[in-house]
Amino acid sequence: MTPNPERLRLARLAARYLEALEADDFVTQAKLWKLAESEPAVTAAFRQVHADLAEEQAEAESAAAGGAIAAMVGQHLPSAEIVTAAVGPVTVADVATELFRHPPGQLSAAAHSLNEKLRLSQDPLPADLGLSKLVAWAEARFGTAPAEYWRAFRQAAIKLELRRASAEEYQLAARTAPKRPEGGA
Amino acid sequence: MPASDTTTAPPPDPVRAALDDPDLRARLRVHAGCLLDRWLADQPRTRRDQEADDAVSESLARAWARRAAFDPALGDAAGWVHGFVVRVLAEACQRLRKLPTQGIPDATGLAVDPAEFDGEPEFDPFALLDHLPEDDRVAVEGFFRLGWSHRQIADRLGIREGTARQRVSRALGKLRRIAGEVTR
Repeated sequence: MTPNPERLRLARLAARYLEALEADDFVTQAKLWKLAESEPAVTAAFRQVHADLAEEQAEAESAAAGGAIAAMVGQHLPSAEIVTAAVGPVTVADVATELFRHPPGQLSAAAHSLNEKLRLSQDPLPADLGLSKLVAWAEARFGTAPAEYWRAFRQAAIKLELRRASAEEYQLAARTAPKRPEGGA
Repeated sequence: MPASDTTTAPPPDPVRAALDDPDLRARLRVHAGCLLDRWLADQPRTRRDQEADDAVSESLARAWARRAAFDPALGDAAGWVHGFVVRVLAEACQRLRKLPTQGIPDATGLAVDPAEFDGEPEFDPFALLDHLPEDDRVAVEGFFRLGWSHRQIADRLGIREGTARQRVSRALGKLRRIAGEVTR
């Protein structure tokens, strides 16, 4: 498909404007607004840039506040577990974090080391959690580990999958029921 | 002889109409807020809100004082007023962040050559895609080559629609800089 020239032009101007805003380059901002005066579509594109930046900053602030609260809880209530609403598929990092919090006994130092590495992986789990397929899938990505580690990993993965499915069902069940019409039976 | 109408309505004043428009005020507030929130990120929300409100008020006052300079034939009053916000924010930035003056020309007399932005050396965004990270590549290809909406890009990447718009913009900015380096 050939790019729409006007779409490309508006996107380029919005990109230049965002760049100027983030670089505190007011000369370029002033020039771009002068250009926008005679083009309502450019004005709208620039305003959208403001709105998106504001939304991004609000989200960053909210995340920072949440992180600060979580850090305080972690510091003062070390036995507490912060449960956050889960979204998306269960990832390798989710499972590794679960193993970090609730480590099974008898894990070797190498297994703990691999688990630390896996806590950084955002790969979703494979659909098939059968032990042999899971081990083949995981070792192809992350390298080998003792069999007891993969067994513990699989158990934690199944636990998290079930917990996630249960939470989704709860959300569906807890949604607001539609109001009955006035005078209805 | 027909009676003449001795009272005639004054001509509509586009600047007054713009300054009285609550929607424009709200948009100017977002304009000021998105920069002040960044500059004053370590300050309480009330302080940032106050600075943004002050910047908008000052911009409106300056636009009103210079209303005679506005030429409706050349553009829209709302866009013209945003030009005052840029100037006021430039001064606020200098004050709050202790930055040097940027010497912005007076917004009312600022002449801009459209070729400065529209006529910049063309580059083919698709020729340089390999220089971008995967998600940026998906955003640029989806938006320009496949004609996806920002919503579609957001769904594909699992991000918000506004983030998808910014990803396209930032990826284009990266490509522009890369193109500059490649052709230099």
